[in-house]
Amino acid sequence: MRTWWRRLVGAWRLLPGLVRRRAEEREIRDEMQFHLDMYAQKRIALGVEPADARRDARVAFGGVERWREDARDQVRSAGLDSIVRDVRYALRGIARHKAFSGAAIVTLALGLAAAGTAFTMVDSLFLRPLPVRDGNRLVHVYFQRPGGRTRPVGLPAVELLRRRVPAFDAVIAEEETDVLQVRVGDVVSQRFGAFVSANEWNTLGIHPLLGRVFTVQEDSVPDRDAVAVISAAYWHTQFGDDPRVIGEHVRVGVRDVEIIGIAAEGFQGTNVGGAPVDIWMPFMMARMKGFSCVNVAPCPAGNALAQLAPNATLEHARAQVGALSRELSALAYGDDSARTIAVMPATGISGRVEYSALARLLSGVAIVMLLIACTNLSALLIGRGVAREREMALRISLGAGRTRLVRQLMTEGLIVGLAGGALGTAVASAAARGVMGFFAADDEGFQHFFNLSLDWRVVGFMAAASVVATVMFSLLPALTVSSVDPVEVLKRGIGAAPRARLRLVLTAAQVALATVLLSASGLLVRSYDALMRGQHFDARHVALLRVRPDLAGVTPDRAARELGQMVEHLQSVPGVEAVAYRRCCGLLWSHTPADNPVGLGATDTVAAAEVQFISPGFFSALKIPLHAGREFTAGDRAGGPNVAVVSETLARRLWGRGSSTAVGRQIRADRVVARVVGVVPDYQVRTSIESPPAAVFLPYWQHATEGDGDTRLAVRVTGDPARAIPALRAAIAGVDPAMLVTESMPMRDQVDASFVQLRLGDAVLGVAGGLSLVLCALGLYGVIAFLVARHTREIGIRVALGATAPAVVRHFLGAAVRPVAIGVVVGLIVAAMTTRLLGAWLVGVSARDLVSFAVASGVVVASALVASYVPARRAARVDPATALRTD
Amino acid sequence: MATDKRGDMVQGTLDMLILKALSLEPMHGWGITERIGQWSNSVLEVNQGSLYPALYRLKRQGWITSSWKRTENNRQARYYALTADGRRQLAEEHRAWTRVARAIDFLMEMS
Repeated sequence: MRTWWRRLVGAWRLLPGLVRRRAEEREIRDEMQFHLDMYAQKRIALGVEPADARRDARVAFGGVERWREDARDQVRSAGLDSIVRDVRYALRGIARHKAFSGAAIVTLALGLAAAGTAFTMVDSLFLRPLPVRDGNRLVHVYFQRPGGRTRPVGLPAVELLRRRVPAFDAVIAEEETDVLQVRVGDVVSQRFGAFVSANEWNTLGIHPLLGRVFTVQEDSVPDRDAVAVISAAYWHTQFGDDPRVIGEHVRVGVRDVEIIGIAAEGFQGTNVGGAPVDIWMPFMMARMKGFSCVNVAPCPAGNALAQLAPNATLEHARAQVGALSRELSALAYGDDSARTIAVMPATGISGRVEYSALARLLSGVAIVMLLIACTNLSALLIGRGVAREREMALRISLGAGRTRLVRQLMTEGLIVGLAGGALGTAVASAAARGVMGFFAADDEGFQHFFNLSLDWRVVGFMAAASVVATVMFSLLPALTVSSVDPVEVLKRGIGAAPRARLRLVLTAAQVALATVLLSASGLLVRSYDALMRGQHFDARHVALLRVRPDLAGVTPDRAARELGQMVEHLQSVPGVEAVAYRRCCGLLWSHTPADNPVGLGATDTVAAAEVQFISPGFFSALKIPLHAGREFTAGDRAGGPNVAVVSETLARRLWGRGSSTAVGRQIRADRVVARVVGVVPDYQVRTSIESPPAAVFLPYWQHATEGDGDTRLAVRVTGDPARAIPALRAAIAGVDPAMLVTESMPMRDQVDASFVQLRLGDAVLGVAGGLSLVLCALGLYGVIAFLVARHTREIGIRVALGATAPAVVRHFLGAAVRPVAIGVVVGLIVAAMTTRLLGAWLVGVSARDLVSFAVASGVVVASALVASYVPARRAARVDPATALRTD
Repeated sequence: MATDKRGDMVQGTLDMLILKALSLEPMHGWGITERIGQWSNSVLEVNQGSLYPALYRLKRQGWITSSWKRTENNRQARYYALTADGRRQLAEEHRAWTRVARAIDFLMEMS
């Protein structure tokens, strides 16, 4: 140990010498000149002539140049020079064996790409600051409510923060709009917008591409200044880069606004992961969104985005904001009860909670894949090490120390590692985009935008991961390969037996990991299957349309009238079998919280449920079976007896077993006392194992003018719903050409979108499982082939002595059986212990589902058998005569 | 034993002698040569060609350090000095050398 330390310190001492090479050379020259002079002087003192004395000195040195070289060599051999030599030697070796090196780099790249993709996701979800100037000094300020919910603070509170928190340089108020109908001339499109305070541009460093941004004066009086800044992307697509757009008026919703500027290229708002913003208007215009308050307390409309002052820290800000919490409460809600205020860095994306389960899954898969890749590569290198034993033996007998050899081999490993890292980074970049592409379109058909560029964090992570992976896969081979006994090797030319055993152990490890991945994959597939089979509806052949009279400025009365006409028109479109609709929310989902009090009499409350207003024939249109009673018909209109339909869960909760007993009972929901006429199953789409919500259904037409007219329609057609949509839109436009129709898509797509995480998890695990199986099989093939090659002579002898082909094959398959068996068993144990972590992904299937595990092991064993059979078969065909001749 | 056929000293013994030479006081390369020659009454002669490589090796291993100083004749020369580790190494090598020498003597004395 001390020798190591001493050598390290010594090398360190020589380091300055290496760096200032020329100075060091000069010192060596001076030193030797001194020595020569002293020697000559001594000779002169003995009476020799000066010229002779100097010549004598040089002779005694035996050639100054030569031992200057020797001295220099001593200086050199520990340090930069030898590293450069190592690198060059390694590069030559890699270039010589292109196929092998290529395979090694690709294998490693696979593992590293998995790691990179997972990290890119984690990075963009949690770590990346906003892509604006000084993004890492931005913080969100909001109320933290119980249950993980957050509430905005509102503009009056923002103004208080501006005045009274010196830790903040600037505070911006932002509020996103719903989808906007923007009419430019005759063209209507749907865009997202935001109301922002005038200091957003300055604070975030967003300079207008063209025109200007709104001033503080234009953001001072509510509803007065209808100006807007549009995004560069919108300018390119909608206005074709026409600079005359500045000063043009466009109709946004029901207001005319004037476009005064175009935002910097690439800026789409501060809500990364959300919808891209195309129109920004002053915050004072926020009443357009329907708020009755804007800047008059109490008003909770408006999110606060603050910039920390240069010398302030997050702690300062938190303390100062915390001291104001009661006043902020009062300004937002009107009462000064204590509410928790959070000040958090504005990193990652909003709604990251939804994605964190997926990020965790990806990370887990990535770690396993990286391990498999490294193990595979390790075995590969050990195998190749056997071929290099002669080379190593030669170098050892020429004086190379073991350290030197290990260093040389690790240098080769590092080059492969870095190459694999570079390739892996490129693949990860594309893969991350692919993964997020799954999320790009949400279940309303709108695109989200993410910041997925390659930033320094990802590059740094990949570099570090490459180095770590290199150490993992090359240390073991380097140590085993360099520990050869040179005499042994040069005499016999055969590698020692432990090599093959080591490779088999590594193969067993790969088999175990592959089994884990495949088991998890099987679980997710069964989960998805269970979910799909558990649905009580049929979403095929159904087209979805959402009409937004609220955004087109239509009054609720007129909206109700028009809806009736639209339904008639839709029913008369050829190919339409049925039309169903629901007020406000997705027909198959429970979007509204289930907190409507439900009771049996006029005033009691027995349960909390969700109330839905649906059309006649709703359930039959979606092919939802009735458990009892009937559904609504055209006869259930205003003025008739109040009727209701309840879900199975609610029926059971209110009246015990037997849903048929619910029919005819009285129920009160949403302040309406009604008679139950039917019971339906809990059909609503659930993506996890939470219990189904209790639901009460009321006829749309008995409450026709409530709500704002936002209605979702499902139209069952005979053919392909996607192709039917234009005709359906035309039918709606036939009633009211100004009607805003959003979300027109086949219902199948919307259902799929809500399962997107599960489907993605499935895909990721499936791909990872498949790849790891391939790597495993290749590794096993390599080991068996290696064994066959090594034992060729022995096979020859056996065959010559009468061994049959099947016997030879069995002999080699036997070598594979043990590591594969051990690997599968270990893999199943690990899987049983860890699949619990899949948690919410598993629906309707236990974490230790025997079928998945059995299928996974079966697949692994089968692949292993095939992989070992091929080389074993070749062994059986060995010709004894040739075999006995080979060395 | 200490010198092979060419009159060069085997690497190990040269190192030991250099360390011994420096154990009294720091010295430059020429001084080391002279000192070893004087102490051994000219029996042992340091081969000039192996001296400096040996000095650099000893420096790398941390047993001696070097610095430039002025000699009595006001010339610049590189002086080498023994470190604490070097002293320990010297003692160790001396012990090893003694063991070997005694064993050889014993062998040669046998009749």
